[in-house]
Amino acid sequence: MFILAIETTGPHCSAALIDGNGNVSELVSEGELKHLQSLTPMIEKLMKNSGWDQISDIAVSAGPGSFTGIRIGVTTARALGQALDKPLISVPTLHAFGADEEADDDTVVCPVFNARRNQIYGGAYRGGAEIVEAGAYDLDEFLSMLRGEKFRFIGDGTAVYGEKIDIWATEEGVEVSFSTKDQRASGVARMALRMKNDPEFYTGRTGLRYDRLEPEYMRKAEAQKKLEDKLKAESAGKPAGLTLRYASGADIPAMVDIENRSFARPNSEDMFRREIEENPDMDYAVAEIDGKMAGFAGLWRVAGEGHINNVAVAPEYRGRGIGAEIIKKLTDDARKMGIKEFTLEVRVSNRTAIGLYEKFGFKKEGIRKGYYQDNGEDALIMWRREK
Amino acid sequence: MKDGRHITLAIESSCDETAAAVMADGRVMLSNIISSQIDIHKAFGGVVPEIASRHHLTNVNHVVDMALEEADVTPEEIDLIGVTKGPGLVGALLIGIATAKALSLAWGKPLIGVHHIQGHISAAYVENPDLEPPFMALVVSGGHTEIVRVEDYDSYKVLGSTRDDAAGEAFDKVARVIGLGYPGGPLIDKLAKEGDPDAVAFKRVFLEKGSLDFSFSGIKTAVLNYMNTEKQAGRPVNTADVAAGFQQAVLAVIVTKAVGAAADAGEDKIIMAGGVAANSRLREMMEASCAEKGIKLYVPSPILCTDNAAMIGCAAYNMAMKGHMDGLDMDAYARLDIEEA
Amino acid sequence: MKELIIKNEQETRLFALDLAKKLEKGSLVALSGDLGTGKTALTKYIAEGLGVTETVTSPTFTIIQEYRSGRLPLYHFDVYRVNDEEELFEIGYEEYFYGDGVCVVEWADLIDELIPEDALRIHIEYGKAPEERIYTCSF
Repeated sequence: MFILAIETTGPHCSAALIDGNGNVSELVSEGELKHLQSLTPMIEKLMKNSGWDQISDIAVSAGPGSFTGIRIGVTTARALGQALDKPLISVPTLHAFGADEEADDDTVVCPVFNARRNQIYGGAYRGGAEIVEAGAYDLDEFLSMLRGEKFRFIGDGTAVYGEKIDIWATEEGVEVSFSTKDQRASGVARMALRMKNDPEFYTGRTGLRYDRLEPEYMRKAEAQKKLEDKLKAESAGKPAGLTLRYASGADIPAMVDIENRSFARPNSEDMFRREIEENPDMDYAVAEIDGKMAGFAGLWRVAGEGHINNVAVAPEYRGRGIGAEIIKKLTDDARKMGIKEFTLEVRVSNRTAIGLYEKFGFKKEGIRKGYYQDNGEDALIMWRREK
Repeated sequence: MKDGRHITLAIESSCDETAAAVMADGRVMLSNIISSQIDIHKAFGGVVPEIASRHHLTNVNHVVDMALEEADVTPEEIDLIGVTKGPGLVGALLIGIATAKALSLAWGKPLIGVHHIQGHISAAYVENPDLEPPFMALVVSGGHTEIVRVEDYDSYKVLGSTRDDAAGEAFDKVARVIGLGYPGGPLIDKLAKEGDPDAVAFKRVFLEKGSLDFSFSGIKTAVLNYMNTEKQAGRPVNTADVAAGFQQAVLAVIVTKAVGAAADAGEDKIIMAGGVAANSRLREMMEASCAEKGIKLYVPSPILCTDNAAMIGCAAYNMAMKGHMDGLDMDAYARLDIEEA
Repeated sequence: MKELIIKNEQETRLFALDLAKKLEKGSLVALSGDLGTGKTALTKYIAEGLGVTETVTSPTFTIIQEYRSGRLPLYHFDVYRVNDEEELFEIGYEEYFYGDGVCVVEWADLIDELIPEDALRIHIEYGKAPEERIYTCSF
């Protein structure tokens, strides 16, 4: 029995068959960007010596990548699945591509595709495992998430961003190599076999009925991108020398100081110690200006939700969008860990904060009466839920 | 084959609609599924599919399933797969084409790509089993206005087309200008009945002598100017009269050219196709003019005037009978010449 | 921002031919203005300036019309009927806007958030005389 694998997300279109032992036969198109014309004849050729009854699954590289390419592959796979009543496998493109690159276990493989508007689709893989989640990123954002000593960049993004990546590598003092290979159906086939043999590896992507297979463009909806750009512009007036990072025990004194100057009933130093040093599900992000702490906020990850609390900005730094930067860092990073719903409480009288949270997509969902003990003020409960 | 009849499965996805149909012997409609017309309450396999406008990728599999189910036809019984290959939106066309190719490969059935206008013209065959080429065709829709001489099932000559706006588009835009809703065509049709077509006369644009081309952007501007002038002068406007006058100006040109072309070519048959073919006044005028000249007029029912796959299935069958076939390397064509398709 | 008085169709044509010379791969001309202000007419002349030989017709119903006979592919959009970002995405607008040719988008104001920052925006209004138009250009 074979798995038929389809790859149409890149410049070349390819199809492959893989058997249970991992033997692969593959066809690759000669020209670029003729996927609609090339794909079906290629599959026909591959199937010349086998019958459809020997096909157990149809796997397709679901994206990200070329919009039209993805659609051709996904549509073809769905129709084949429908016609032959076969299950489908939705293969994550970047992971399959990254895992298929031959590299030693010390090398972090980074497939990067050129997305429009100075964005890339990228991910990072080491020993076949994903260490930076596949997604749409600004190049600098992506590079800042990479950890390691040796990197291999692959995919069509290397041609466009090679120079910038070289500069980054020099600055970080890391080794970098490039490959101009692009994604291939053989890689998709190998990933599909792995996924089929271990359904826990990527749950919900194997054994799919044809109408459950969807393209994965991974685009940021324009509205969201505009919001992000707007927030970036608003805080750039971004204070020069603003850094964002996560708190450690050494930050506690500075945090306590800001806490005491911001709240009528400040949290104790003990609380900070417990949450920063003992609670693994709690993160505090801190903002510093020229090395001096300006503010912080905490995020508690529980039951797949993110609870934002203890947001504080030192009085002398307020009004500069620092709170926004901290919240953004917390929510962005938490999203990468799979958290899709966030909640927080805010004083009903705190118009500024409410406005800020609404800009981040938080919506009012409820009231906790008399929540604030210092003056019995009600708390507004806000949630941001992803569709 | 089923019950001794040739079975065609057809898919259409050139613009707004995702459609699939099953035709018997090319002309008999066993099913005709159109995405925008699916009764949302009609459950499919216990789950109501999400059918969203222009979401061809997620729609196409459902409409194909529904077409086969309603026609009570199995894949084995299919003899031919037809699909629109152009003209239209490439992003939309490719969904239908990639699907048709995959089905063709998986089920081992021959494949034919059809020109969208050829499809509209073929709608006439669906309701008129005895109709055969040659004849003249008037195709009027939101996106097309053409006079085509249908020489054979696979041979067409475009005698005239629009140089700017299509007729259907002019209707929609004028409807907006005079304050009607959307879609404008049927609303103008209805309102015009209450108006006097001679009360507000708009210039009929025939273009140069002997031309069978059309130009409707001028009349759109004329209506706009009229409305503005009256408004500025503070005079009340009788929108029914404006609708009637506009309609008359547009249709008079269409009817004169279309029927004239048929008469000049010695054709005794003319068909109407496309969304605007549903306009009651156009039908009236065409009937009268054709009767005068002894030309037989074929008018399809409204469901076949809009985009659908039944007409594509019929066109595909006719092409197949003429020996045409497409390969699995078929492409999508944003622009396509009916004379070379 | 530049405001121009265009007296008649001949001046529209001259303006368009001149503009066409400046267009390159990835250029996008965003047109806004009421019905009848001449967005399609302007596009026809831009097409002429690009060397397009096919007849340019209104894309109101077809949404996108492609022309490949000129020195660059020309993608003529009319988003009057479809101005929802999701639907436009399904049609593939990104590949056109950031692709290999020139895009001219009629009713661009309806999809303002999707228009690239560096687009050439032209807003057209009626002038005093019936044939006259006022162009407000972002370039």
